[in-house]
Amino acid sequence: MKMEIFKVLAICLITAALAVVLKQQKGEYALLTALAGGTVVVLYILKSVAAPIEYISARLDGLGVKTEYFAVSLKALGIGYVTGFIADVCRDSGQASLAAKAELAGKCAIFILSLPLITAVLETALRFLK
Amino acid sequence: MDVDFIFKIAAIGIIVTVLNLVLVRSGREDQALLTTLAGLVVVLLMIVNAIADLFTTVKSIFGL
Repeated sequence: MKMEIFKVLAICLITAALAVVLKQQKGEYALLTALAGGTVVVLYILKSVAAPIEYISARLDGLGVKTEYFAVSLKALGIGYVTGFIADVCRDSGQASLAAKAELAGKCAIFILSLPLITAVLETALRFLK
Repeated sequence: MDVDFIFKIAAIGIIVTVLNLVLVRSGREDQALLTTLAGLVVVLLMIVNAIADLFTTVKSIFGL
């Protein structure tokens, strides 16, 4: 699936213009318009990036690499994207502290997700020491 | 890619602003407030659906 970068950029520009027009009259609609535009763009990006991710994980599977570690990093990537999206929306609406909390939650989620990897590394190091 | 979605929300915002202006000018402040509230609820319902769609897509792609 080809990705039309200029289309995405045009949508971002048009959404920004609409948000500026609405901001003078009603601030809440400017925020909601920006949120809708961001959702549409991110959905489009995810749909075009799904096939390459599947391809890479299929290739890794074929090469005999352990895909569980790749799956963990993929999950961390997903959590990071979603958290960043929501934190940006919070920051746009003027709630910087809420954005910081969202980012903290994302960091904690990724840490919990990567705990098995940390223990695996520690176990390997201990096995070398013995 | 449904660009119509963005235009729809911006259009609702403009229409609600105009209605609000007309109702305030004709001295019906309470109805103006209700119009603003109704528009906000409609737009929020639309956006909540879109965000739910986004989250399910992220979940299915990244295997969360």
